[in-house]
Amino acid sequence: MSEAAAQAPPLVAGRAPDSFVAPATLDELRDLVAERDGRTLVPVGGGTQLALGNAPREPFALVDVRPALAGEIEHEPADLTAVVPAGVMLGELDAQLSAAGQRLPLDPPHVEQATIGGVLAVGTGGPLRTRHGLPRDFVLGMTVLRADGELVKAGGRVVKNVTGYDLMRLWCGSLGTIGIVTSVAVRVLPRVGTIDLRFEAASLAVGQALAETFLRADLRPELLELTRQDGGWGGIVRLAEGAVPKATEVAGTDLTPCGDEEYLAARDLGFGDGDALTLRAACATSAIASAVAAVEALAPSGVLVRPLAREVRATWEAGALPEAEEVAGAAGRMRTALAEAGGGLVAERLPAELRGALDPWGHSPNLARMAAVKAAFDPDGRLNASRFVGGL
Amino acid sequence: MTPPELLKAMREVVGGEHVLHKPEDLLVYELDGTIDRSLPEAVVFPATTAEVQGIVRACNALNVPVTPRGAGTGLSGGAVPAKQGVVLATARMRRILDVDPVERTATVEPGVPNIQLSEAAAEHGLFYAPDPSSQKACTIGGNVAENAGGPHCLALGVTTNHVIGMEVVTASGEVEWLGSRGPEPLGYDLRGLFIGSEGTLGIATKVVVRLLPVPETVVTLLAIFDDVESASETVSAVIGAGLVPAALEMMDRVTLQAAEAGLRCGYPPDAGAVLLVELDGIEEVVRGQVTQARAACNEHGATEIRTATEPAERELLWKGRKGAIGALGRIAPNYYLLDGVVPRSRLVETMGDVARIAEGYGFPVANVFHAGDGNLHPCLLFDEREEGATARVLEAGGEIMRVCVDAGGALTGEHGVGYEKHRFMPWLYSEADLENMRRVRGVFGNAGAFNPCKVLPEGTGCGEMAHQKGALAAAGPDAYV
Repeated sequence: MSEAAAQAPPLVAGRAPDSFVAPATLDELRDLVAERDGRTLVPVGGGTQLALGNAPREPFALVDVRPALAGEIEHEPADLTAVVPAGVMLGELDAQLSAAGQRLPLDPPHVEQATIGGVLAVGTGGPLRTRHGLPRDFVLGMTVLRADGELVKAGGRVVKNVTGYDLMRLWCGSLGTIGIVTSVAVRVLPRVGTIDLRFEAASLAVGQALAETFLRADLRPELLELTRQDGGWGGIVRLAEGAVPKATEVAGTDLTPCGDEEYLAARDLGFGDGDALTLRAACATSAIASAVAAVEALAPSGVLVRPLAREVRATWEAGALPEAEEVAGAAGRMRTALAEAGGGLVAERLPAELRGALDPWGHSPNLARMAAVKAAFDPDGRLNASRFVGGL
Repeated sequence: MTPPELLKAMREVVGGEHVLHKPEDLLVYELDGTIDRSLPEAVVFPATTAEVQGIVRACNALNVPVTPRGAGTGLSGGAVPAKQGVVLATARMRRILDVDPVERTATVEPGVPNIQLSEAAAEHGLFYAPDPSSQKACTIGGNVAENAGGPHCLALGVTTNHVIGMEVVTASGEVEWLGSRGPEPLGYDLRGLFIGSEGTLGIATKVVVRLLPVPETVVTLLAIFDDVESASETVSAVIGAGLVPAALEMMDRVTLQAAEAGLRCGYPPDAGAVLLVELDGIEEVVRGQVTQARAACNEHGATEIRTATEPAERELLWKGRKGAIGALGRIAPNYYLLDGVVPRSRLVETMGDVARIAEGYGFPVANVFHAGDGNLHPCLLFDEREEGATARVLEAGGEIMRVCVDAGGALTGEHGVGYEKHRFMPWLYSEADLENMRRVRGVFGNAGAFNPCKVLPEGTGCGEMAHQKGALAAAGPDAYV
């Protein structure tokens, strides 16, 4: 095993690791995990979400899992499944699936540079969640390296399966705190002909109403993104080619075909080089407008709304951050309001100067149960200790 | 006889009229839709979350196992009280608490029958997607426990894709909300873990589901083939063409003959297989898909294709499929209905293996499958009055399960592991995998004592249940796949 010390290791939630290692094989990774050297281990794939969460407990080692979890993709086009080593980049997976006319519709920020293991560990969706749901909705089975070095699996590689507990759901979105995913079986879909259309909306309410119209007209938008623009809102919608005439008929506004640029801008909003603070709210439909008003009061550089996925994202650049007290106050009020309807607010990027003022996750009413989960699978805090919700 | 202290404790929680304890009253609750049976000591009908909690706590204090039960339509022995104790039935918890057309959600109690939820949503132009074939009877609570699917889960997913939160009473007797009305709970997905845990981690007492807009156009195709191979090649061609139909269902010759005899569906007497393909969406898009699907059927030797768009006509095309298992009662007095899953491309060869095994045991076999996702339901026909037939049919079922596992499949696609298959789990999972799953029970408390002998292989006291003693469920119209 080599200390990958040649380059300066990246920060994890603002904190520098004590070491940066890259085990070359699964056995080496397993040995590392099973070792009890007092460090916590922070697994990292493509590194697109290193800012997320609390700073890990010290001392900690950043572990690049890509070399250990590399390997061949087993794609079975006729079964609409693929078994993928967790270290495979989604860009690479997409290229292989595309060659057979298929796809895995997951698109969190900078997805091409993310590993499939990382995307599942973080669990965040992108624009395509509007139609296809979250990463966890595509997982058929998983093999996971537990904190004591045991390799355990759940699920399988068939598209319909209720054999045993659905541990895949527990592992997805657990941010590597109860195991490191080593291999995953996913359901894939046929690639279909779609088109992106751009539109303008005078207000957020108009944009939301249009989204509802498309949905109710059974147009099944793959994605529908609203972004704040000067004087109003701009939107994009992705539809099956055959659905365009009807969409035009029901829209009551111009729908203009557009390229990839708008889509990528929406997908990656809040994850650009200059973005220092990024907040994501999960909202009830009825709470979207007030969540947008709350973030707009803090003068963000960008605001994105996914009306059908009930998500709001706002971002601030490094030079134009709101005051710590303002952010903390607004976030606290939003969390209280959102919690009533089952929503929440997560700081996906949080600059050092605001870390003291704002818990990146917020309070969970299930914290005791979650602590029991953590204790069941990683009692010593070997994996990503302190980084997750409630400091788990 | 029911221990008096147990009876007293139950009556204190729900009142005397909601506790059954006489042997003749308990009989109905000794089995679900499958073979295994075991008589409970009491059956209790709570009406509220607090009462559910009261029963679970009282039973835990007395060290009495609790087995939750919905409508009892399950097909893996999940509602059978394997170690006796108390059956907690949700029959009095059947209120639809809220249908919210803006959020497109509904909140219901666990005893609400699946179909009533879609009926309540219909007035808002919405529906609840998972539609197990038992949907007229089966409850949402049971659907949550089993992570139920149905003919239409090919495109839309199963229960876990549509339940966004629930209030539960855990195995240890605590009340907690898992997930919420929001789409993205914070932290570990406890909701996702609980769904499909087959009532071993606790009981859902309120369920929040996602509703979808009713499709604008639905077209059902029924294609008749000479054999299952041609129908299977058609399925491959449909999927190869990039279509994900709302449903892709197949029936074999034995099933068709039974359905024809019992239901008069108009299937030709020499038909070897029927394929149902359902496509939905806006008319402009569906039209093209129907053309593609018809072309696939024709290319692979369909002898006849029937098409329907109106609800009543579509219902007619579905009639044979929905009544198929019940119709098998005309052929044999008993059946054993299996649920296995294999990679879709191995369906035909697996069917061959199933036929060979059934023949070896001398049982006729009828096949109904969710062909789109490789989920097969062989149905072994037998007569329990024949000496040793029950034991042999269970043995044959085990061999068929083994074939599914060896083909890269799994033990159950939608019926659950339950009691029926918990001893087969080591075929799929190592001891480390199973021990890892067992840890989940500890998270919700009272590990292994709540609804025992389900899902995971257990050490003691989960031996043979009463199927050895004799009686089996007779084939009848209330059986579903």
